[in-house]
Amino acid sequence: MQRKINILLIDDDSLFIFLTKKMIISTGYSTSISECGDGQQGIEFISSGLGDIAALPDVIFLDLNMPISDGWEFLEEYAKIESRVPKKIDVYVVSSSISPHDFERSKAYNVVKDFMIKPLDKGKLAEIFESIANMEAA
Amino acid sequence: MDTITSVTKSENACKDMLLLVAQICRTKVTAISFFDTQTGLMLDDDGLSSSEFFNDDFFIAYYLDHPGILIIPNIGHSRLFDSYGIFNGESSNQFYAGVPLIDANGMLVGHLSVMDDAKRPLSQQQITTLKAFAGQFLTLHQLQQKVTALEKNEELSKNNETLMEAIFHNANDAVIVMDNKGVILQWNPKATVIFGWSGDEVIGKSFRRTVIAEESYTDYFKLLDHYKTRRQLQKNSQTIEICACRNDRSTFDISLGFSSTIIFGQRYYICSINDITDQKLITTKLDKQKEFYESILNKLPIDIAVFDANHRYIFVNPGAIRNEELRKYIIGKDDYEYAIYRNRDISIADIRRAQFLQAKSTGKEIRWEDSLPNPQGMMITHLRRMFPVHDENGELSMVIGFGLDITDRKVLEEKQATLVDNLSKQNTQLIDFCNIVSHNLRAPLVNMSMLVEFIEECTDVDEQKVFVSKFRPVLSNLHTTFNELVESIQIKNNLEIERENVDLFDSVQRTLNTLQAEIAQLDAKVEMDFSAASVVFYPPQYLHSIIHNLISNSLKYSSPDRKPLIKMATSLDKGNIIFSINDNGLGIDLIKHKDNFFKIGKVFHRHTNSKGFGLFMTKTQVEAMGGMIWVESAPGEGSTFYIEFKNQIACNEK
Repeated sequence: MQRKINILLIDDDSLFIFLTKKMIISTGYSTSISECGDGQQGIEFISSGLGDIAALPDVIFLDLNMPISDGWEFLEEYAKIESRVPKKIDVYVVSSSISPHDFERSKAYNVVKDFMIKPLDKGKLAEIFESIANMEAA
Repeated sequence: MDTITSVTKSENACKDMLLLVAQICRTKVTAISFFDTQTGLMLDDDGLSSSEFFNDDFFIAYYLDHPGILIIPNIGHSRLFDSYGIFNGESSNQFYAGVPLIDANGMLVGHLSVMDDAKRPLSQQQITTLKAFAGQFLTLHQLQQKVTALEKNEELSKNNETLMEAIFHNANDAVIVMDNKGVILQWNPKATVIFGWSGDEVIGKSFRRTVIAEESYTDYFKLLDHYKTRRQLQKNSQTIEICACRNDRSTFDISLGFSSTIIFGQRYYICSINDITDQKLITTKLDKQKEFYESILNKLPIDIAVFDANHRYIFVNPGAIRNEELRKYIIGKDDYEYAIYRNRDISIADIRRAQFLQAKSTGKEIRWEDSLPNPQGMMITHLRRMFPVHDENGELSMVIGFGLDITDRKVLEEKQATLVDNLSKQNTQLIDFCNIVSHNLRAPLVNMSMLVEFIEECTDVDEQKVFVSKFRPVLSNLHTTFNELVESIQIKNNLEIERENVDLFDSVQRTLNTLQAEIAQLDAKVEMDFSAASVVFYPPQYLHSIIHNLISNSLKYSSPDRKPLIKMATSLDKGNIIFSINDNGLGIDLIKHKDNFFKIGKVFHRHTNSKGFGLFMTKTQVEAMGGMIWVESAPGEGSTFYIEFKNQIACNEK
């Protein structure tokens, strides 16, 4: 049996989180989903899990436009603690922004695997989970 | 009278007179000598001889001192010669008696003398005779001199005539003489060269018909009238340019020097004529060239001034000085004289002089822009250049100054800058709108489309109901967002928006009424001090919106640790009103947020109602009216927002 894939959703839109969770579950992969309302909470979540690999997410879906601390601030802060993270985490930027400027800007961060425009696509999610599962197997 | 005959005649008279003197005085030698002509005659045993070799120095010297008769009975014993030089020692003469010839002006002309080889007395009668003859000789000599002078004059005038003739024939100008009826009397060879007619062909014919072109008759008559009406004038001459014709009837331009003279009561006209075809051609060419360059210089839309090495004006075109009189005045003068003449500020001349000296000393072109008010009070901007011009020796020969009116360009540049500024502001707003549309509109739409998808796929009725229930908050959120967006789009840089005097207290009260529920719930306290300024001249809906946003922010982001206290006040600053609102709320980390504090969609607190519109709208409404908004804040302590309302003097002058 496959290990659960740890997923972290960072978004201030509770409805979007609700709907995304539904979509993730509908892919049929075994997942464990955590959620944070802004970038700062996201960083705190990861920092608190540095000593426990099992608690850290395999993949993060990061919104850009959030109060207090947006997606960009999260990426800045994450770059500072990345070396202490004992696990490879893929970050997917998920935004309702259709601005090419945001797309280019997000490419500048190594940790960002891809830039996705809301809404998420179920097939794309399945692909992501499949590749993570395969890496586990290898 | 012939010179030779007259001399001979006077010589004969001299001989006769000498013979008489010799007879009367009975001396062996009798002589007359004239010092001025260095001529003389001597009568002795050998007869008459004309002498040119008399050594008369002694007698000239003596008679100059003693203008009377001199008798030396014995030359050998005389001491006289010691002081007047040595008498000719070879002479055998011992006796001398002489009378000086002195004319009316006291001039010593000669002397009449008698000599003998033995000493002898002279009787009183003989002395008187000698004196009388001396007078005769003087008269004769003077007459002779006059005759000689007359003869010389005659010869001279004869020579003059020849000279005049030569001049007439060889003159570079055509010289034509005519009588008072205009008939040609004289015609020199040059006239033949110029007109083609020989003298024989034209002498006796009409000057006008021969020489003057028909088209110029009127001009010629005018010239003649000038002489006819002034008969009394003996000498006057005029030179005119007139069209003439040759013997082949071809016409050409001449300069006609015309003068009249009256000889023995008869009037003559003397014409001196030059062919000026070439000269005229060159002049015309030069004139055309001058006209060409001047019309360029005068029509260029540039001020041009040329200065000499001492900063005096050599040339000024109408672009620099429109008034012709002033333009003429300034030539040869400097800026100081001009400033005084025009009663202008002399400091401009100081500046110009400094610039001139800079160009002069560095030898390099200088450029600058200056703005001066024109007589109508409009600011005129010129791009000016001054560059020195040096001659072949490297000496400064002149300095050329240019000025190009760039006022239009300057105005355009300023307009453009304003336009660019406005555009870039609008562009920033556009990007902000793009963001807001992206996030605040697109996000709920995405949610809704996802909801629809789930509902379609869902088979469980209860679950479907859950999904459907999620629609309402999304829709109401979308509705509010849409309204706010429309409102913020309506705020433009429109200065024509109606401004009114709005009472601040009323406006605040209005907001407090709408926020009554929140105030009561939080038990918030509000304080106001509008003593410095209580009325704001502003679009009322903007002011209400600004105050509502700021108060509701203070309530929204109040600290859970203490009851909200909101203090509002006004102050005056150089005609502007500064409105401040202070709270004891959560505060904001300004260091972290300084760049995007007032940006759209920016939210600083975890609060369900934050969408980030408020401050963006407030800023837009403040800046649209030319004002500013700024904030002082510390996290956990509270914030103070300041708003500047511009140009508020009128409404608070009470």
